[in-house]
Amino acid sequence: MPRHRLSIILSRAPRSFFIGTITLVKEALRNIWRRKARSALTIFGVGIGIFALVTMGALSQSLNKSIQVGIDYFSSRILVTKASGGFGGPFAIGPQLPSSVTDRIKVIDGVDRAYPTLSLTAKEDSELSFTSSPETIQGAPPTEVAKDEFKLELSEGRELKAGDTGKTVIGSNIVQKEKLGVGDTVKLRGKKFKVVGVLRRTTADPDSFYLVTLDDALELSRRLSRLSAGGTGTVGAGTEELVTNINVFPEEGVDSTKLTKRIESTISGVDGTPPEQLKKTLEDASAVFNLIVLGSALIAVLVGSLSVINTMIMSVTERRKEIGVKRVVGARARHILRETVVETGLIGLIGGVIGFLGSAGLVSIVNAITKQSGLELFLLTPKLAVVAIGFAVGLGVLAGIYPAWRATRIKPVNVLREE
Amino acid sequence: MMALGKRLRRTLRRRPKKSDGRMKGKLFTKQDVKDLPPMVEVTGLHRTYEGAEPVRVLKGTSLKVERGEMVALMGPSGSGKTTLLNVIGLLDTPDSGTVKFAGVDVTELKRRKVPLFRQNEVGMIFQQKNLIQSLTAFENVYLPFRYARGARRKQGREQAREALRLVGMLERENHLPNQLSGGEQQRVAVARALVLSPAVVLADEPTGELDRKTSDQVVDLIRELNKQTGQTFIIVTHDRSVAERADRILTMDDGKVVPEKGGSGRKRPTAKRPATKPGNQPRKRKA
Ligand SMILES: Nc1ncnc2c1ncn2[C@@H]1O[C@H](COP(=O)(O)OP(=O)(O)OP(=O)(O)O)[C@@H](O)[C@H]1O
Ligand SMILES: [Mg+2]
Repeated sequence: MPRHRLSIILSRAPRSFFIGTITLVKEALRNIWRRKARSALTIFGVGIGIFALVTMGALSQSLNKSIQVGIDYFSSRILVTKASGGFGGPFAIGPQLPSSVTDRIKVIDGVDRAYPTLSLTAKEDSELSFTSSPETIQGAPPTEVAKDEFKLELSEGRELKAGDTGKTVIGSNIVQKEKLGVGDTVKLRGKKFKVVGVLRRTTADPDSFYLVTLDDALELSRRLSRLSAGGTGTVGAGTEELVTNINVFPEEGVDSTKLTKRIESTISGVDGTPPEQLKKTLEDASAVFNLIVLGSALIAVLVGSLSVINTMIMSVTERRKEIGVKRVVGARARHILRETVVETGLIGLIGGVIGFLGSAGLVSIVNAITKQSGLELFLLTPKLAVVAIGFAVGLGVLAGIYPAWRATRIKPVNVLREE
Repeated sequence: MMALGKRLRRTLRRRPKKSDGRMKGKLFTKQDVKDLPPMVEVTGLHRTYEGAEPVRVLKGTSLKVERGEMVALMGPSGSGKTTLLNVIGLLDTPDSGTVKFAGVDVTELKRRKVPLFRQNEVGMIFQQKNLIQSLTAFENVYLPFRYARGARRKQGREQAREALRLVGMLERENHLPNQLSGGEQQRVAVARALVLSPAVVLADEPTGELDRKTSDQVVDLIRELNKQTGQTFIIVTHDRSVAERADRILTMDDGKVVPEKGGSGRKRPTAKRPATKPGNQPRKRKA
């Protein structure tokens, strides 16, 4: 008999405790089983709530992860762009500033190093998409990028080196969308590039990057401005090299906000965004999103727990005679309380597990589908699983308190006369 | 199982002022027993159910039950038998009057102590739906241990099985109540009432829902257990033949116990009984 084996394993003092707990759980399960339809509905109610919580949680985790990549990327640098209000460059590029500004920044006190980057959309007809960021060409000097603290990791091939003209490293979305791999050739804005590396998936913007050398990007940009200027090639900033951002890295121990101010006051016509501000903007965005998403899921769970309260009040009313009998054989209020709460906790647990499994199923199906378009919409982590199921149990226990309190008020003398 | 004597001493120890020297040492010697206070002594109980129309139920009820006695309590419906039993078992509080267990007034017990008293000193059996439907026969009998102190819980499993064996239900220990017949359920209920070897067992129409044959079986069982364990039984019944198995039949009418008429039923001189059947002897044999 299993009970015997168990009592050997759990011999001595804790034995009665364990057996007590096992009996308690068994009783609660039988009680749940006694009213199958009602219990099923209640568990389903909790399950839906947890389903919503897990699904929404997975969505917000995925978003948080992409935002985190952005935070890591930006938090190391001050991003200098052309001051707003000025006239913009070609539509595909956006406002630009002369790359010579880089040298002027480098000499400012507190600047460790600086390099320009130029980004432009990869395609003429680059469509706006809600599910993924548009494919962009990112030009930067490879020697400088190599010194960055935060670097994009590769899953295949190699990084760009100085002098890698006509070479590109592509993001993981591009691999899937454009069916490209290391060794393939792709035509960007009229120029042929050979793929030398593939970036590891970040679930953020870099998944849609074509990384090229700054020189290549500048060449493409010049072609574009000629086009937008009606093909004459003589209008605009003349021979000045134009870039979109300058990445500025402060020296160690230098306050980046103060440094940003210094850059802005030294060089007219530029805006600097210090890492704190960028970080905060990104974090605020994700916080608001999390709040909305988790808030709505919480409401679903709360509704589920109301149904637990309702069910348990019914059960307690139904079983008041049994509760009376328990009091007669010596149960104290806390025993009755404990038994009721164990039952609702179990309802929470079962509902939580069902809701979680349902959500895990949905999430993996949706992820499998959206993966083809280069996006993982949900991120289901073990932590989320533990939190969600723990939450379900906790709510079950909380929902049990009121019915349990009512159960403790039952007086045997009043109920024992009942049929 | 804990011996009856120990149980009694424990009861007395709760009210040290009232304990007297005679209680120490051996309890059931021939000369002692007539000096001991009765097991249950109820005096002048009054109980009125308040409400729009207050119902006076107990109107100065008094009764005395000796150690090891099995007493049947009869009387017309509504005469207050259940109310009296509830008061004795401390499920209900009287408006006035006293309930003494072995000379100790238990109506004065602190509220906190009441569950302990119920658990240890009184076993109760009811007419129906005695058992917890979601617990097996074994778990139902084990139930008093679940609520007992840790030290007692340790031997609970063996004692619960022993009690089930006593009522002949050990083979059915893993069955749920809905898998048992009414008589079998009632036997399990008897086992549960006895499992903590309480000094007194109160049964309110324990055979009320059973047919003749099953009813006889359950009463035979109670009678047998009473002889074996020397526990005191008070059984409320409407069934003459059940009552006749008792040592004594008390009749309640209109909130009072009617003074006994001599020679009724199988009445025996009460004082002799415990002397001829020392309560703790059979247990010693078992141990
Ligand atoms: N909660 C209550 N409120 C008002 N009156 C009550 C209450 N409980 C019992 N009574 C009344 O008290 C009286 C005695 O009831 P009790 O149950 O003690 O009788 P009984 O002798 O056990 O009857 P029976 O043989 O039918 O079980 C009855 O008249 C009953 O209506
Ligand atoms: Mg009655």
